Amino acid sequence: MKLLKLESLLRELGCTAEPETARVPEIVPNLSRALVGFEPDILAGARRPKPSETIALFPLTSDTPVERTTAEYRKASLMVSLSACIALADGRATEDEAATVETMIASWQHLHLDQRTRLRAQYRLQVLQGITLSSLKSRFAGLPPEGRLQLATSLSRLATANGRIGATEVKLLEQLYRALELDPKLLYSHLHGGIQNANDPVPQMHPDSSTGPVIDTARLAALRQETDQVSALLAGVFTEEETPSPSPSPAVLQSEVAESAPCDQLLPGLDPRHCQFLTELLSKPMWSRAELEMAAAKMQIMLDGALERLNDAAYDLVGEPIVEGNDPVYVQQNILENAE
Amino acid sequence: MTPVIRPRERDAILQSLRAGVVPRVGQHLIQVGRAHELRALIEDIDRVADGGATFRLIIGEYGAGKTFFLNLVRSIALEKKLVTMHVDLNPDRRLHASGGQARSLYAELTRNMATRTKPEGGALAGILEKFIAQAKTESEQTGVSTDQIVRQNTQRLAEMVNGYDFGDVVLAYWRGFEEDNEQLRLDAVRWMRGEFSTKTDARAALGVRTIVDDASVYDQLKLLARFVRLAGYSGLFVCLDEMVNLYKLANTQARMSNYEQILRILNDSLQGSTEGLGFILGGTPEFLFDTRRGLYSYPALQSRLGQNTFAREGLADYSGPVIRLSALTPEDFQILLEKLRYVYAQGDPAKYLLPDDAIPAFMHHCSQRLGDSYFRTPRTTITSFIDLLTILDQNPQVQWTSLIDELALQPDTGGEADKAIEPDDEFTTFKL
Repeated sequence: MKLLKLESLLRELGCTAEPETARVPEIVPNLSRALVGFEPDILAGARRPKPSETIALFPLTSDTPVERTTAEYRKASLMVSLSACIALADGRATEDEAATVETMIASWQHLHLDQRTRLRAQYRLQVLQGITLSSLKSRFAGLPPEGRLQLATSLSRLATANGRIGATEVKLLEQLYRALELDPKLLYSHLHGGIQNANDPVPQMHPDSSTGPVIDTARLAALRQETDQVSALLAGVFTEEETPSPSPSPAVLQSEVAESAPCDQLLPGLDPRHCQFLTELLSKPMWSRAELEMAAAKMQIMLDGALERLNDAAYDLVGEPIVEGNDPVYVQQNILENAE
Repeated sequence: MTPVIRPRERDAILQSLRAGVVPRVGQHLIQVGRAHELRALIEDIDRVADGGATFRLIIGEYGAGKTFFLNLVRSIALEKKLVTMHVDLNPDRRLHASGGQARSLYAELTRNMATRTKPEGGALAGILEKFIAQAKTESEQTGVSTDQIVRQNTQRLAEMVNGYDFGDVVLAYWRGFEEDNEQLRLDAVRWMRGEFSTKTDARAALGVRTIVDDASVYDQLKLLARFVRLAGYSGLFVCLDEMVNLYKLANTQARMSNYEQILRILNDSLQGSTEGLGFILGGTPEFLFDTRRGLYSYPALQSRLGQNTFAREGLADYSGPVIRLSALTPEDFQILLEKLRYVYAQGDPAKYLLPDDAIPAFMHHCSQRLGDSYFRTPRTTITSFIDLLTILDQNPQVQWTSLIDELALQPDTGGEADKAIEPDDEFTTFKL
């Protein structure tokens, strides 16, 4: 495929007299017979280019012109023009966007090879020369609703092809969705969905069929593996590997804890005052807040700060709080014993 | 990896899911996939714990699990000894306002202030007392008065907005304790929670000249972030959910002012000008992308958020401020159901109430009734699954095969509310 100025082509063909452009409609069929395609497609109604404008020449496989007025071709051509609009919305068309359009055109196997080559030429020419959405609006009219949705989805996917979504692209897509009489809210879903990893599947669902949901076994296996990684990652945070040992009865523990176990052995790092408070706390499984406030005041300590400190130390030791609740306050008398 | 399931966590998960709400504890037991997203957020938490600042937008459609993800991240932050604050935005709770809505957001945040030992919230008093207790211990060791040590330690806050008064309020709390003046302590906590609405009241109660007002909410959060570090915590992590409520504000100026606050937070985190403070915001795609009402309508945010590269050639980049949560797939849903079965059985496969075959059968039933919404917006289908397990648990004689076909399933239509725009009441009381 070659892009060149029309005047260069005319010079090459030996047309030097003015006005040479009048001879373009004669030249194009002759080029076609020589298996060379010409874009813009003036034979299908496109405006005749000026000598200073760029044209595209591309190889054809057949000298018999392929019909370019079918609904399929017109839709594909519109799609390519819109793709050029979207690609240019953020200032310049990138390689990623060109690659996405190329993949899209290559997938249109229902079109003749020459038609597909022409569409590639059309895209290259349009991103070079620029194209506006308003110039295409009249071509939306004949599209059926499902065709519009398909068009919109493909274009929003194209907008995400370069890995970033610029506000100018979104604005243009919003205009496009409105022009296609689609809810712009659908656009945000499409943009969100369009930036899925290439590996992410499009769920295959048959809600009304008796086969039920289709599970992609390869993806299921990959997801299981990822979930195992997540479990391992979170286990590191939540210390899930601890194994609670069978605990003696609370009554036995209560007396043991209160009477025999030295506080700093139960919860290391506490000062004497908090040790004393812990010992007092462990003497009952349940306290009213008023009772605890009195006990704390007697020891000249602040209740909430003390409970925070004891619970923090208990978390560090056994991964569980020693007290729970606000009023009444429940004391887990056995958890420190389990830690030993 | 076979996680140990604590009864407390099991009950919390099952009760929450059965009620159709996201559990506040034990989320890690039922997390499916999202390894990259979680790694990114764990790195954020570590950065905050190292004194850094972070900002993330979690974008997902209704039902994609944003709130679940936010709660999981919050739990991780708590485990890593950070203090967390969380709030759901609504029309009366915004980041910026002039009618008390921002102060209301701040008040709710402080009410929901949580630590590892108080994950359900209400941790402010404990944090304050822990800070004072440290000063008291130091006082006992050095012989310097507790007042002086508190004043000395809070000097590090004085350079910040409201910092000097914050120090005075901490001191007032300590004096309230010393002098057995309950009212003084309550007033100090009220000030910290942003519950004083006039400076006169605050001055009369505590002798301070400032209050937490609509304009100082973010500055107050920065102050709290530094304070919790002084109190011995690793940092502060703030979770703001339902950001779509800003998108729904009909008044353009109000929306822009709120987005300006978001920009300020984002800039501070990118420039590293805050200390030990992380933000995580949950919103929908339209909240981000809409160029008329969403974050993309604010030019300075467009450039910062648009540069996030999501996926390129099959690879994803999680270094940008936006993390995208894709909608659940049938495969995600299947593993989630398996995890719920595991949690229900307290981690003992011998106690499974349903065989492996039953899970695809349940999904088939849901698929026929609800189409693909059964896994895309799975709130109601998860509730039905827990209901099924509960019935089987309580009626061991019943066969699961006979129950599945009778299960009632309701479509989840909660997402519709996200799309409703508030009426603009700007001129409803306008008079000439």
